[in-house]
Formats: sequence, C-alpha cells, structure tokens
Amino acid sequence: MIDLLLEPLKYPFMWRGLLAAVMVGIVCSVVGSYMVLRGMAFLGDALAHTILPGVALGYIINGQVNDNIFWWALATGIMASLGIGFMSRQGQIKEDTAIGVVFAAMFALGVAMISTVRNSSTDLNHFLFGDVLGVSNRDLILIAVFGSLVLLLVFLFYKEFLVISFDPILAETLRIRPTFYHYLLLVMIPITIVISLQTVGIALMVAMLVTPAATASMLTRRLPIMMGLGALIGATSSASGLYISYYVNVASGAAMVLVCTTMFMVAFFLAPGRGWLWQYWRGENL
Amino acid sequence: MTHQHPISISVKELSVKYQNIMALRQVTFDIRRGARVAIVGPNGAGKSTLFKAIAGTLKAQQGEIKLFGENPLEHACVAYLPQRSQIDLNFPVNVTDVVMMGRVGKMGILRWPSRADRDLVATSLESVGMTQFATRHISELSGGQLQRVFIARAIAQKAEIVLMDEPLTGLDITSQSDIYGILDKLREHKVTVLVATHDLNQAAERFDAVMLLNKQLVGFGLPTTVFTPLLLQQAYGGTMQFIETTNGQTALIRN
Repeated sequence: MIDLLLEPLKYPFMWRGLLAAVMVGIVCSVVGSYMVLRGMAFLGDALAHTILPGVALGYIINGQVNDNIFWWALATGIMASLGIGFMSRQGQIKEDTAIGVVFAAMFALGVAMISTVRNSSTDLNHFLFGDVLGVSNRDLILIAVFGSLVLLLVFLFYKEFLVISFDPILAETLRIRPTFYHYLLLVMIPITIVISLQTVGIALMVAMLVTPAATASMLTRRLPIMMGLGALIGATSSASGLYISYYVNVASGAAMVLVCTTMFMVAFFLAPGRGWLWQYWRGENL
Repeated sequence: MTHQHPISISVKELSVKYQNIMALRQVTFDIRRGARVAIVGPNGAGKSTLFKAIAGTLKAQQGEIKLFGENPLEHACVAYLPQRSQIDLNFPVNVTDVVMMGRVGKMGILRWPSRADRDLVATSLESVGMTQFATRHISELSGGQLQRVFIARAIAQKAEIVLMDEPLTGLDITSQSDIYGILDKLREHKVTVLVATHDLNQAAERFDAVMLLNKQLVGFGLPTTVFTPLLLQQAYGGTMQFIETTNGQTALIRN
C-alpha cells in the first residue's frame, strides 16, 4: 500500500502535481463554503469560463503556454467578476442574467482568440481540462502565495463574511459595509479560480469550488467545521484523483472531480440525520 | 452608550422609493424613547419600506430621519429583526453564533469575540429564556424560539430601536404572549420597539400607540383615536365594514 502511494512520487512532476492538487483542494473548498451558502455556484462556473480570453491573450502575446498566463487570467477574472457585481447591483437586471451575459461573451471571445492560432486544440484542452503534471516550481509558489492570501482574508474577515452571508440587513444596520465585503469576495473567487486553473481546468472548476463544501455541509451544522471538513474532503479527493489518474490512466482533473462527487453522493444519501436514506426511513416510521 | 434624547425617531416629510415605486409619501411623525408602536396597514402600505429607511438601508427621496436627534447613518443602534422566511434555516450557525452576530459591529475589524462579548451573549440569551438552547442549530427552533433568539441578538447589539416585521405571524398564542413579555422587559430599558403587524386587535391592546399607514400616514396616536371607522376606511379601502361594539370599540369585518 505504502509502495503504491510512494511509487509515483519518484517523478518530480508527480509530487509537484500532488502538492498543487492538495493546496488547490483546500483553498477551493474554504472559499467554496461561502459560495455554497450564498448560492453562488453559477457565478463560480461562469467566472472560470470568463478567464479564457485572458489565458488566450497571454498565449497569443507569448506565443506559447507560459508563466505570464497567470497574470492575464487573474486580471481578466477579477474584471469579469467586478463587472458582474456592478451590473447586478444597478437593479435593472437580475444577477444570474448578468452572469449569463458576461460568461458567454467572455468565453466566446476566448474561443475566437484561440481559434486564430494554429494547432490550438491541444493547448485549448490544457486550459479547459487542466494539466496538473505540467505544474512548475514557479506555479507552486504562485499557488502557495495567492492561496495563503485568500485563506488569510477568509480568516481575518470571518465574522464579517458570516454576517453578510447570513443576514445582509443586519450587516447594513451594524454599518459593517456589506458591499465592500461582497466585492472582496468577488475578488477572492477569481484568485481561487486562477490558481486552480492548471489543476482542474476551466470546465470542471465549479466542482472543486462547490462539491467538497456541499459534501461538508451535509455532515456538520457549524461553519468553521464545514470549512475544515470541506478542505479535508477537497484535498483528499484531489490527491486520490491524481493517484487514480496515474494508475488507471484517466484525465487527472476528471478523476479528482469524480472522487469528490462520489464522496458527495455518499454524504447526500447516508449523512447521519440529514441524508436522503435517513430522512426516508424516518418518514416511513412516523 | 445610551441616548437620553426624549425622541428616539423623528421623521419629517419622508418620501422613499422602493423598486422604482414611491412606497412612502410625505410621512411625518415623532416617536418618544421607549414607546412600543404598532405599524398597521394593508400589504404594500410601506411598512417594510419605513423600517428599511429607519434602519438606513434605503435612502430617502425627500425629507429626513433623525434618530435621537442625529443622522441615522452615524448610528448602529437600530436592530431590524428578520422574518423567518428571510432566513436560510439550513445555514450552519447555532443560537449562540446568531446572537454573537449582534456584537460584530462593535467588535471592530480584525477583532475576535472577547470575554465581555461572550458574557453579553449569555445574558442576552438568558433574558429571553433561551439559555438551554444556546448550542442548538437554528433549524431545530420553533418560530417563537427563533424570534426570541433574534430579540436576544438585538439585546446583545445594545439596540435602542428595535424594528420587527410581522414577528407574530404564524405563532401560537403562548408564543405570542412570551414575545410580548420580552417586549415588556425591553420597554423597561427604554428601548423603542416598532412592530409591523396585521393583527389590529393586538395592535389596539398591546401597544402604546398605533400608526396607520397606506403609503401616507393615515393616523398615528392612541389606538382609540386612530382605529376609527373613517381612518380605517382610508387605510384599507371600501372592502371593510366597521361595527361599533357595546363597549365602544370598533370591530373590523371583511365584507
């Protein structure tokens, strides 16, 4: 068993990938807790897609996939996120409509830009589905630095995020500037997405954000525990997904998401007190 | 800090738009510190809009609101108690967490709850009789218990003005009188309480004053002077009939 775990790690690209996957699994799940509680799953999916033109621009300017793509993607993601926030706060259109408009427009722009480059399909695949084994040392540093920044913000503003998520009117009457924290979250989400880009890719990103947190929410009734448990579930499923992809030879991002979804299904049906089977059984015996 | 100003809420010629519709027009009134006022009126009369304007979450189109003689935006002394339907009951917080939220504004940024905050939360829960529920999840509470927790949150917040939007809807009689018992304690502490309600009988019996609202201020004062056939007709329109009972009170009957 130990050998099975250690064997892949003799390749440097495997332990770099594993480290990236675990860090990303933790950060995504913690930020994802607020997304699950605030009903922002669609925003997460959309924002992952809106970074494509940034990625494409970096790709076209540099002529290849390289480290600068991180900054292009980050700038695009933050702009799209704040743009959606601004549009929906004007009160003329609903938030999911604003998300839909920006999401499709940005993704279309990205596809159009990439299609102008020859041999683009392989690279597009990397962006869409991730390339965890291509993680460089510099990528690891960026993931560690920006991931820690996001976790630090979640920790420092824990009580403010809690209040604006649970009772926005209370936040306003307490004068703790709910709009500021809302926009802060709208910056933290694209940061999280961009550091996760290489691990799971654009298309499956929303699963990393939402599924571990949703699984944890079935198992506990306290937010700090939900975040910790979510991080554990996220890290475990990312790591085991990577091992599965090594031994079974399936795409690593997909394997991570499927492991995580399996955990979610187990929790959804079997969670003590709140799982479907539990509820069904209790309903039958009333 | 408690305010000694005798008038807790002073509203002058207030007009407020809500979702592009003028929801309140030219409303003027003063409420004295420590009063318990029922706000009654048909649906869409502007009760919630008035609350949001007092809480400072909606801007006035015209006119002004003063709390204890000062600009409301400089105050965090207002507590707005949500309705059960406005709260996500699956949210992962327990009773203590919810009451502690009342302390967040005063704790300040980058601070964690102190011993004093935790003590205040405990005494707040005690004063509404919810101590034994301190670690329960909010989904395990009845409607009346949830209201008591929100009142405890207002106490922990040291709110001097408490706004309650239909807190008694759907509660049984025992729970309702429990809530009134707690509101009596708030009155002893000179907390001003505004309650939006559809129950005219309780408004007449349990409150110091009633405010009849239908986008404009139709009447404000003692229940006996406000709940007259004429004013009720103005607020609710022609679908109501009014009967003078033997003891001189007015009963309201739907046609």
